[in-house]
Amino acid sequence: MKLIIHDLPEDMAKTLFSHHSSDYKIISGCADITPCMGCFGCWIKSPAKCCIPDKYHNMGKFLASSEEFIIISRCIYGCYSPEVKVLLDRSISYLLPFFKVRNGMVHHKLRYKTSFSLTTYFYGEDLTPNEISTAKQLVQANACNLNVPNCETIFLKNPLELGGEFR
Amino acid sequence: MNIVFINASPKGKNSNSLYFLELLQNSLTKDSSNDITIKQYTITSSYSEADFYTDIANSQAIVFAFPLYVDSLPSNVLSFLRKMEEVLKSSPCSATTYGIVNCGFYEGKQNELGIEILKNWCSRVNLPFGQAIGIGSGEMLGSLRTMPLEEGPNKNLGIAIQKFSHTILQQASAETIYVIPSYFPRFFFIKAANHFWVKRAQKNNLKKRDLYRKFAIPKKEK
Repeated sequence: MKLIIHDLPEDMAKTLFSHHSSDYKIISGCADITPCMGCFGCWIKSPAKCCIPDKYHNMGKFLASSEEFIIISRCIYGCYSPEVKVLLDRSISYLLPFFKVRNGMVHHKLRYKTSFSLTTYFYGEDLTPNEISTAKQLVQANACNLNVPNCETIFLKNPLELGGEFR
Repeated sequence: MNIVFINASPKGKNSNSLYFLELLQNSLTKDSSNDITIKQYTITSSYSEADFYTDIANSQAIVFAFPLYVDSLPSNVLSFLRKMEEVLKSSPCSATTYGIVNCGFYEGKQNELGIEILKNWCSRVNLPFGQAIGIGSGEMLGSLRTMPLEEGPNKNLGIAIQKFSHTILQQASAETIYVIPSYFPRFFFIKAANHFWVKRAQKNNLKKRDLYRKFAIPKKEK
């Protein structure tokens, strides 16, 4: 499975994903999604699953089922947009609560033996050099925490430049 | 001097971020000759937006406090900053921005990207950035509230808060201060933290092996 999370308006998403093959799972982030409450329930109450009862409680499972994870997000201050970030915040059930040292720093242990490749498309018309640098480092940090062996970060002025990418 | 504290933690009033702001307030107001007014807002609680932006406009310092989520800011904090950016376009202010970012990992340095994102926001809204503290082991230090700041694992935190409040009082800028627990080596932190998760889970009638639960992943078809 190839998992895509994005923050695109509906008409743009239709244009980009209308002919996607069946092995893509596409999740649209939006402002209405309940954000992570920091309750640790996905670790110590309902392990592997977020305890907020909506359709985003299985983000960890979707990650575990994917060979590719694709993020399409406006770059906000060198970070993901809130609409995409809420999906990432709700995904920490993918990891275990327990800590170990990896690459010289403390990280969470991995719940699953599977892994995936990560491609992040950031877009924005007037990104500053600092925002671009922060965004690149952020994706690297996320890749380290998720134990992703291959990750790529690509910057676009407009997400429509991705036309035809997801057939 | 007018200071606005913004508790931006998704946990709101039950957060470690609020605790760290309280420590800062105690340090700022310790010397009664400092003429300081602190207005505090928690973004997950209801408040008057008009009052908030009036206080921001009249302030000389703004202090954000929030936890690190997925190496960066929680989604609600990003929404909040984006909205503030829109408002500040028509209601500019000149306050210096400061940050307290905390994470559950041992190393305070892991908060670095969260602090960089806050700095990038300051550049967007044309506010000077003063200083930040990146607190590691935030959950653990947040549980040591009855221990004096000069003692035990709290010592580094106490020194950081003191230096930070001095920078704020001077309305100055300085390098980020990263905090790890004092006299508490990393291997011991990992042991204690992993034991902590098991004890917390037991309150939910879960055994240690339950925490390793995973979904069966469909095998890829050949």
